[in-house]
Amino acid sequence: MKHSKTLLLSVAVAGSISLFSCKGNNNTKTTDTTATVPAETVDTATPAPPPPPVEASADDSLTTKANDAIKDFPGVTAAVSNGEVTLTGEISKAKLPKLLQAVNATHPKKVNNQLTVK
Amino acid sequence: MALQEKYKELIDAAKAAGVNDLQVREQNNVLHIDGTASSGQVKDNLWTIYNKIDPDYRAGDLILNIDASAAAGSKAKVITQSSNLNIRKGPGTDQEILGKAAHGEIITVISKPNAQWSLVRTDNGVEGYAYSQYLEQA
Repeated sequence: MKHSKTLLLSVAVAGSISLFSCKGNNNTKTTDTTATVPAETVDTATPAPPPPPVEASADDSLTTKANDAIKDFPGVTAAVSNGEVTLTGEISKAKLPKLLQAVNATHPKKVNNQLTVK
Repeated sequence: MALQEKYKELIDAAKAAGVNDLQVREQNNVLHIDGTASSGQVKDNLWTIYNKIDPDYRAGDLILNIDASAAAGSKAKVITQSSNLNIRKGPGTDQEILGKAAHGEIITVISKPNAQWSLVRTDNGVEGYAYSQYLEQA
């Protein structure tokens, strides 16, 4: 099938001045319609999905940033949900401000401090 | 508005200390105070006031984000607790460690690619990314 189409196309191109050009046009139209269908399918599928990925990537990047922020505070755990960072575990009173400074700089919506301060 | 009243002393202190780009916004019952301080001392002082109003920062109604890290093109002092500061290949703790800067060492800040990380160079020639929270204007 592919061979015959290629043949028809090459004949059409080669003899574009001759009457055979009609067959060439038909072939081109078929190619156009098949190309349009997948494009439209993609278009209709695109509008719906965007919101979830944006939400997910926000929490993803916040998780990375929060984990970077708590890295030097062993015993502290950070959980991220809907833009909020929840801190659990244990920390000394002296280190608490430094930890919260780093966590607050990650642009969370809220910080839930559930840490046990020793 | 109630939150701005609760943290009035803190907001007033930030204004008095000349915190740059100071923004005070309330969103979903959380007050966000952002700005850039000229020194770590100004930042620490604001955090002391925060702790006085809300002991141990338990209320969860304030995000205080005062950036006192060294600006691009300036010298920075490494203010880790006591340990060395990692200098990494990229901006993330998952990135390879290229070298270290000692506690108290003065290094150069080349640029600040994002809010968390600075691109730095040590006098020994190590160039990479360091966590900005541990860099103070020298």
